[in-house]
Amino acid sequence: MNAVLRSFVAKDLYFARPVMIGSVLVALLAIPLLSLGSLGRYAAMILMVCAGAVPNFFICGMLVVTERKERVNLFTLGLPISGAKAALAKALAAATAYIVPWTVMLIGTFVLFAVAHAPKGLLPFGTMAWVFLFDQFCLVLTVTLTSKSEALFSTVIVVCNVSISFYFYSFLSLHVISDSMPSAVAAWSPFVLKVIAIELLIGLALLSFTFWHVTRQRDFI
Amino acid sequence: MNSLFIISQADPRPMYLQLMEQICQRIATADWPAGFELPSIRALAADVRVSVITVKRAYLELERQGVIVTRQGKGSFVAEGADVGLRLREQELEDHLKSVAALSLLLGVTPEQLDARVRVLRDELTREKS
Amino acid sequence: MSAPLIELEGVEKSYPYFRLEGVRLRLEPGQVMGFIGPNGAGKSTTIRILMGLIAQDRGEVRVMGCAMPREQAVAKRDIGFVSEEMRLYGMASLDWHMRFVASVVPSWDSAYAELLLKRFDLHRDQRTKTLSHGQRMKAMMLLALARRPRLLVLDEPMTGLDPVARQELLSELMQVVSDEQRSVLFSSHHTQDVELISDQIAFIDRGRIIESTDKEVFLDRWRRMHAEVPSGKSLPWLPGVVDVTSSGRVAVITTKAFTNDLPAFYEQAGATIREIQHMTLEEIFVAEVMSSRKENHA
Repeated sequence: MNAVLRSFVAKDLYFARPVMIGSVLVALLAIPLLSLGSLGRYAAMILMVCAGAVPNFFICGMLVVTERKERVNLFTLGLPISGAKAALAKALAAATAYIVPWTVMLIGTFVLFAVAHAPKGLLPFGTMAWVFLFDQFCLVLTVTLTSKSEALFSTVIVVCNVSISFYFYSFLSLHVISDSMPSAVAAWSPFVLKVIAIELLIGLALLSFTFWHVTRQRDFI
Repeated sequence: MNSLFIISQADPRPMYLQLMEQICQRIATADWPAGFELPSIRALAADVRVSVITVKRAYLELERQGVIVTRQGKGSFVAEGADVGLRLREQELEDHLKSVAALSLLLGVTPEQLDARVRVLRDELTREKS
Repeated sequence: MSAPLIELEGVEKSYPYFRLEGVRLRLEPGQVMGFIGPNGAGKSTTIRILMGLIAQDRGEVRVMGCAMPREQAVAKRDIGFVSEEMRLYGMASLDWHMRFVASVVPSWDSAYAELLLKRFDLHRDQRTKTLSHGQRMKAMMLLALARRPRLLVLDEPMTGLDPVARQELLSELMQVVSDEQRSVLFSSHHTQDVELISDQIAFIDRGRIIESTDKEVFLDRWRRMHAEVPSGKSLPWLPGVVDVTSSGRVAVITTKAFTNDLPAFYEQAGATIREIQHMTLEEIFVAEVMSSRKENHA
């Protein structure tokens, strides 16, 4: 039974491969831009946000929404797997497809900043924002796996994208954040750490709820 | 696409009757001689592309008429007796005569008129053959 | 007598605008069951319930001994399922699909798969989104047949297939039941195909199974009689008569309970039976649905 579950997860990861690789490539593009002055740094930030937010839409849209709309699930559910395990495989694959590149990019950023002796003041807020993007993914995944409404999916995507600006605006106007950003040393203030912890908890709670919910469904079509 | 028999859905008669008729034809022409083993019900159904139950019914009816014999566990065979072919032709004639009788009653053709017409047709056929 | 491959007993399922009620179905090994009914009657719902894709509100479902939907993963090892609504992964090739199914279903027969590729005239490296409707149906049939399943469950498999493709498909289906341990359940609007290869017919309308019988028995029970009724005489209404259409002195009687002495009853009432015809499954289908709808409005 585990073998079938693994096959299903592998299949979805195979289809999500372009998105996974694409997001890492976009992040890599941001690196040379960092040394191009403040405009370059701004552009790099935009690229990083894209790399963290856009896969959201593609992963959930492709693996969940489109498959369901186009009835490909009738094909997969005809195979020897229970509806619950198939749903679980789907959730696992989607989560993996997002989290693996996300982790690679996070670690990559830290390594890069250490190696390049770049000013690390950006790192605490950057990490906060990065975990916020992870939360957005968790929200989108939860919505697509608990509701069949495409309208809701589109709405949540739009709300998430718009909220990125609000997030940046709200937090960057706080002195505890903006003051320490230009410095060469990373300032991991208790405030920043608390925010990151809360964000992680929210994300994990959403994921747990989603995983629990999909296995309790009784109608899979 | 090379089926032994063809079942036509355009034919108004039930499918099992069509099948029976075609099997009888084979037997009457000695294509399937006495003692010949008929294909298994499932094999014939797959070959002719018709339901198993239709073939079963055809075989059952043929057995009831004494045209074939089914031996438990061994299969179905064309019944022994050289007169099977003859018996089938006889049955065919009887069926046709029934239709002729019914139609002649409907149209009001007298037995004498019927006799005259049959003679004419037989003479024509004999002339054609020679 | 081996155990039935499909057993549905008292199955119920409610939706806001539709209800499946008291569904009872049995499919023995070695049989083909044709599942017919008007659009929206509940064919797809019933099929999805027996596949475990939807959970029934009430009733028992057993497929090859497995309780559904609980044991669906085990049952589905031996079931090939094709539905007209089903789609494949558009960006992947047919070959990818074959390899994926083979990796998940141990009974995959690659030699048979190759044979079917040729027979259905399909190209393994073709992306499935470029397949025409008929080609896609054939591709999905290939993916189901090459698993050598004990049970084939098909929801409208003939839709959109050209006559040649339909013949090919019918051939393959009959090949499946040439093994008396395997069965086929298929739903179709093509009553001709159902009439041709089914051993059992199950007829569903508005969420209820109206008939579930032996095809030959079912077809034999229905007749259309053409009668002449002299003026002043009226036809007796006999049980099983579904419709009587008269115009002047000619009446057409449709009955679903024909016996050999039925014409005699009419003759006694003064009518003359001119012709007794068998009915095609399509004609029976329409007559049955029309009469049950008339009853509901009465």
